[in-house]
Amino acid sequence: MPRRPAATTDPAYDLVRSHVAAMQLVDARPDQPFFSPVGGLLPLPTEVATSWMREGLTLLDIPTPDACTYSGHSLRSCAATSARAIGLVLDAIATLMGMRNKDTTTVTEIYVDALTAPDDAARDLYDRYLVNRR
Amino acid sequence: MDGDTPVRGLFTGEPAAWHIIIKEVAAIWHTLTALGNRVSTGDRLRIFTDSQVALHATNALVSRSLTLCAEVRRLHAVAQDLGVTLDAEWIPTAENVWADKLSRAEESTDWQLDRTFFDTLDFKYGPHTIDRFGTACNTLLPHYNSPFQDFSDLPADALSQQWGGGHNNWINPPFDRIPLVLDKMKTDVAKATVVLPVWRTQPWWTPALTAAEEVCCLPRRADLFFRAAAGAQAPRPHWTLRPPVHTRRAGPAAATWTRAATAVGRHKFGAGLGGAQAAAMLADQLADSTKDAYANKWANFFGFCEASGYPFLPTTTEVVACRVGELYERGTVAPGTLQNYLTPINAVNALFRMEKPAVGPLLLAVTHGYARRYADAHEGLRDKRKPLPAAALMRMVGLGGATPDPALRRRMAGLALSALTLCRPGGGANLRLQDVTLKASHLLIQVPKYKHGARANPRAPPSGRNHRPGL
Repeated sequence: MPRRPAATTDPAYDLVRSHVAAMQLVDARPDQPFFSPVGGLLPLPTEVATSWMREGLTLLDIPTPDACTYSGHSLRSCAATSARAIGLVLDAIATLMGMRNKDTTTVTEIYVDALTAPDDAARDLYDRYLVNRR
Repeated sequence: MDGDTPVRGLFTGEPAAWHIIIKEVAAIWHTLTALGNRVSTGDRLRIFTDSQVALHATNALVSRSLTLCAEVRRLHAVAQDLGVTLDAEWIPTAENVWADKLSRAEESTDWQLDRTFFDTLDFKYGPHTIDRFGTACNTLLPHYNSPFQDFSDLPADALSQQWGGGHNNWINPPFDRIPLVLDKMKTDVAKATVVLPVWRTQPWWTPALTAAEEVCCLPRRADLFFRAAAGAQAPRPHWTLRPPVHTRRAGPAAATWTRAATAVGRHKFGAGLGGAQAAAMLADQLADSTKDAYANKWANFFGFCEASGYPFLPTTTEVVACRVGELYERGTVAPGTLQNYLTPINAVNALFRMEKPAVGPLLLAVTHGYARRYADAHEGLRDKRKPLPAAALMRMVGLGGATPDPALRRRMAGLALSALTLCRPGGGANLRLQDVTLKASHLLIQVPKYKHGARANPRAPPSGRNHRPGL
């Protein structure tokens, strides 16, 4: 995962990087689950990212739009939608998402909200994957 | 009663320890009492029971057991009061599906607010006249609407009643009914005290706060709720922060699936060179958690076919359509999760190299009908999943960067990594330290594959790795 150019801010990358550095600093075991407390070797449940997301939504008091919900794949959908909004091509998104045979149909049907407008947050997160095709 | 009015109750306190036969007879007179207003003098009531002892006791109105005899006398007294005669018939347990289901279903929303807090709220906002979501076990008021017909003097199903008209309602609803409750209160211009969880992200949260005249917060105490039927402290309903729980870990059914798949593989591939490995690979085709889910769903389907006499292997699209019908009757399966019940049927048939039955235009039409009827019955489909806005994610990243709480920082870092790698929800959560390598200008991350493959070994040569391209 590349960092954005040095002149730009990249808080998401920096947060992850600081966590990696902290784990290495305490000399954790190689098989230490990356987001468990050091010493806790029990693998985390599949749904844990969903509970992290809901915790963030609650703490920041972010409401859910009417008749909508944020569920497990909302985060993955956020990634695909944001990347698409700032101009990543669908097959690149399918590749990044680990889709079998670069299945762009699933990406468009399930993950991408084509009406989402590009914004700064999307660029901050995903312009690192933009490919200069010139 | 009449095949369409369920009556349900729970034996609590001393009767909970009674012998099952005594409960069977007691259940009959309780049911008669609850449905007393639906029978007429002179009626002859046919009672179906799957207990031979209860059958004979009911018909003979006598028993050698003193305790059972006491219940039989009560039954006789109730029948005399109503002016009806009873005619009991035996029904095999296997055919007593509906009543059996009612008696075994666990009431997950059976919670009663601690009496001290209720008394405080009743003093402050009461007196309350009716408990809209009570049962005989957990109601805090003399008058209540039960979800099922029981001994209440009021009709069942609170949402079909009129909540206005001078009532001061006490409402402690199942959480999935909250939007309907709020709509109903608005429609009926009802006065009520409502117990709600602090779920700020729910669509109903802001309208509920806006509509409330006064809000008071109950303390986060473990003994706030009481599970009346079990006579024990209720597990705290899911509040704002849910601790991570592993709901997808493989259970014992996964081992059953593995054994069955291995046996099929051995039969198919034989004992020749590579045969054992091929059989093992066939068994390892699915992740353990998937095997567990498939095996459980298949067992349910098998039970359905066995009870109804349908063929299960090979089965047909028509049988699967009937299974869909049965799932609809259950009323607990949303259209969005219906496929979870169909895929295991296909998987088992595929394992035996039979045609997949849960496919095709006929079944598609049935599932479309399922969705339409479900939507009509529930006044709309479930909420639609939305992508999390990138701006919201960035705010969470900011929260992680600013918080002094290392655990929260770790969780927000996990969220950021999952989002940045575009992985499945479990992908980021299951990374190990050895999967992440810190480089000067980038992070090298190996996300374990969850679909159709095992975690690649990062210590293996590069060709065995599963790095995200471009990382």
